[in-house]
Amino acid sequence: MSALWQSVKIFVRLQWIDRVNTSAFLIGLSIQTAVLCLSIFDKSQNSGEAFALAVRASLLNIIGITLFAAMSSLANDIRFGTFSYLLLSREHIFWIVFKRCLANTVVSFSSVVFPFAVAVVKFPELASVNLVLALLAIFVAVSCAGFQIALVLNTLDHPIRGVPWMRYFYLLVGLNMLPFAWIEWSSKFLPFYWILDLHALEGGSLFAQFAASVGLSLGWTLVAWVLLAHKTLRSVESLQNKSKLKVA
Amino acid sequence: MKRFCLPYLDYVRSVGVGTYLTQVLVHEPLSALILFLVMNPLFSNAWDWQVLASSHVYFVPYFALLSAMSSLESEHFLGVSEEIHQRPLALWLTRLPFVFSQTVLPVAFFATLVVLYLPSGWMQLGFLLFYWAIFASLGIFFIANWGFRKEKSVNNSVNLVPWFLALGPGPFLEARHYPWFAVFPGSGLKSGNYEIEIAKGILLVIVLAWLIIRSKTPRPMRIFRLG
Repeated sequence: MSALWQSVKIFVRLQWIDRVNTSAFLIGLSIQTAVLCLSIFDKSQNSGEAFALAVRASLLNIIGITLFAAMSSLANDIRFGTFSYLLLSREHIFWIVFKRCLANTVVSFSSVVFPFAVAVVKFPELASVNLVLALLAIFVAVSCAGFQIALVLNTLDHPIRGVPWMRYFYLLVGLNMLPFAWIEWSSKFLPFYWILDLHALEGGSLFAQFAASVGLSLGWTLVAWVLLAHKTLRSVESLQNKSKLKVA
Repeated sequence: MKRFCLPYLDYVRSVGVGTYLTQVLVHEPLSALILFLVMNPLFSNAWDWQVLASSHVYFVPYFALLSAMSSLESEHFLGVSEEIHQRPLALWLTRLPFVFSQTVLPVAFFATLVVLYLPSGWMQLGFLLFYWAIFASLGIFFIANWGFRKEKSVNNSVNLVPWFLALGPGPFLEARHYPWFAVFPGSGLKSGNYEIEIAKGILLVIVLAWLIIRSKTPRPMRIFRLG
């Protein structure tokens, strides 16, 4: 237990050191969260709107941070030449990547909590077990999304060029933001869609939607791991060789 | 004329025409679309052009400031800062093609919407064009004064732009009138209170003049550091 706590502490501390160097984290956790909280308080007409806007605001914050965390979770090891330590570690490399994504969600989770806190201040009836389940579902969805993003981006030669496309995918499609029927149809395959109206449900359908969200997160993570793990590793190794050649 | 366009053309050549066009035609409009949609509940009402047109007071300064501040990227490839250091006119002219080509499409889009959908559209179009010019120049000279030190600080300012402007009238706050709206662009346009807008315009011109004078003095650290 003590070893587990030590491991959690060191991963969270390392993620914090990495994150405070990115603009997305600094701005996302300060003025961006403040503006979005004010906007939720300003714009929401009823509790349903406040909840949906809080989901959108929190995911806009944390997906922006997670994209850079996931990109650098392998790319920094190539850049700084520490990738061999990662490969020679006793733990499996993708288990370490997943732990990094979990730690990133921990250090940036206040940007998720504050929008919901503002929604609860405006509409106190939102404070219920549904809210706890929604926060839990967002935690799982964002951690798993970070792992999937890390796998997808590191198959590319320039991971940074894939960042905006992943952002559009998770925000515009995943949150069903555009008024097209096919967007709504395809957003049902992502976990975020099932969180948007979690506040109004009770009993069986509440747990069904929560389970759908968590299941889709874990399912897509498994799919990404099965399809991309090998390819990512090969591409990362070849990138490392390329950077070695450049240095030489 | 040609020598002021050369830095821009060289920048486009360095990053690649495809990358540049993707940046201008896809990433910038879609990022702005996310900012417009994220706090807009499209649950019941359909797409509202009038709401989009009236948010030009947010998006035109956003595009102008963003592209003017990120025009410092051309420094990575060109290293012309020594030539344009303490020469504001040369600085402004070399950055102008960069900023103009990145912002002309969204500005034309919002100008069309403003003329078509808003009452007293031509008056608002005048303010739109003024804000385009003044915020582009402010961005260029803000970076000329404080941007040459570190890449990190430029990144932070570019990330700060949408959220600083979001504190004013725009897609984020619209239901109430907050007291601090007075210092943000466009607070008087909705109510037809043009005097306060003109006063703000004069204030912005004074700030720009101060930035230009300040950029003529030597910088404490002239070397641009990456990372």
